[in-house]
Amino acid sequence: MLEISALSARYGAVTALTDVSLSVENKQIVSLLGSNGAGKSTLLGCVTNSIPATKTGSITLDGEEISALPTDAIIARGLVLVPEGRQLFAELTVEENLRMGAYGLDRGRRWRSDLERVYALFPKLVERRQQIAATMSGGEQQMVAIGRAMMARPRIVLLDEPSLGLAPLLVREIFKLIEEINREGVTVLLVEQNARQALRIAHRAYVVEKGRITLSGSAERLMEEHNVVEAYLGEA
Amino acid sequence: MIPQLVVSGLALGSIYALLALSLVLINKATDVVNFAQGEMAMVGTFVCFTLLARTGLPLVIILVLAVPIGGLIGIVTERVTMRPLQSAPPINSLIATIGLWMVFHHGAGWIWGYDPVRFPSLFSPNPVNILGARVAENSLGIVGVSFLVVAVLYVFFEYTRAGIAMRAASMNRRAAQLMGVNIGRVSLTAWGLATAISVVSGLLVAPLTFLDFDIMFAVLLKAFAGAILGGFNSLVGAVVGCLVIGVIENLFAAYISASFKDTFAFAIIIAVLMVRPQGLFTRQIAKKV
Repeated sequence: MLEISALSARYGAVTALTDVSLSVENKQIVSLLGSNGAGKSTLLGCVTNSIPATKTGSITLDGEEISALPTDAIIARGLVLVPEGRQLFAELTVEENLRMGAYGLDRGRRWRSDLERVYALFPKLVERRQQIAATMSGGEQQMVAIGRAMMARPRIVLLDEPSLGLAPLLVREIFKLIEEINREGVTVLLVEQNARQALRIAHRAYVVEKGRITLSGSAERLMEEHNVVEAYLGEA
Repeated sequence: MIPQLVVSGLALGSIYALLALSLVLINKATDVVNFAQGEMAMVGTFVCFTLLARTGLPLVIILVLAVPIGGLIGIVTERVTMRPLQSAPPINSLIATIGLWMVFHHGAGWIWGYDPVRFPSLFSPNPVNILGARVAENSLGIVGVSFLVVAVLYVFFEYTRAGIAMRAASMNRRAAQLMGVNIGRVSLTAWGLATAISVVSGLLVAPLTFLDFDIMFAVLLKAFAGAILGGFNSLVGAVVGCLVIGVIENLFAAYISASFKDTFAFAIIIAVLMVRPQGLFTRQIAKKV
């Protein structure tokens, strides 16, 4: 579904990604593992064309080249990013935040039924619908961020470190939600430092180090791979 | 005496408020402080003046036409001068607006001359009785027009798709972009809207003094003082701040010193920035990392 080949990216003279190739098949969960500064967020920024990096290489969605498209056109094709650190609209309510998620869609009233769908997915948000986003806990904010992405009716969701800064219990809950979204037919590209959890729910995974893909394969295989355990599972 | 001074102060303040709204609007949407906003309002007012002189259209029609005229000036300026600087640091855009200030200032002198011209007023200066106080019809008219503009702006930001997108973009530009908001269009809308509003303020102030290429300088100064008083990131704060400035200015001129009434705007800017830089009405929201 999403095909990245020979992608390189740099900020000015600083190289962030070198010759990265990665593919995400329809309806799968693919995890991208790597430590801080490995280039994970840059990769997602390149795919959504939302960062000021210079890039070369090809990014296709369902066979169509999207690397030169503006962000809004990419979203309209069903690819949505949940950015690192939630990035909610701090002074808007939960419901207004969710509604913004449907901004790129039609201008009609369809967002109301989408809203009900998102509330069904996140029942906890129903009673919080009028709460100002900034006053919520990290876990709740992450739910709003994912719910907001779901409002855009994505076919593929890119999640950037959804477990960052959350207590272990909440991390488990967030990962359960990701699996649920996937069961509903949404493809997921999951970027994580929390390798153990990310591998547990993924079909396949990639490891990125210093801007290069150094390891890839089925999640089970990577789970057994000695290097991965040593490099990433230790810190989780 | 005091009620009259307060009402005419509110009228002055609401003129400042329109220009302050323009400043805050562009700043919230694009992080640029547009120092040229007053001059753009002045140029728009001169265009309206020429239109009035050439066509003899009723003044109220000219006031309505000020909106598209201002919008066009804002949109063209954004496209020509701000768009190329989009990916440069914000300081570049800020300095560009100082350049724009000079271009519009001297361009207007070059086109329309340096002599003040009389600009007719929509409202008569005759007093009317309100709750026992005699206030000028003029003042009420100015407050009324400003109130109308603010009301339209409120509806735009609360209920329209473009307005909500602008609010979202001002809170979190990257997130708005990731929702499919076109950031370039947000900037264009902000400049168009802000300049339209500022030309209305120009049309309201022109009959009070005379129209010349210097007309908006003092207004811009007061608008800055009011906007800073309101915290510079709140539209409501800017309006309230400017109304306060207008009333204090009037009372100050009447009871203390008329010749220092412009200096006092500077004093307010400095005092607020020293004592309460977040403005009088803004809660300080802790930035989440």
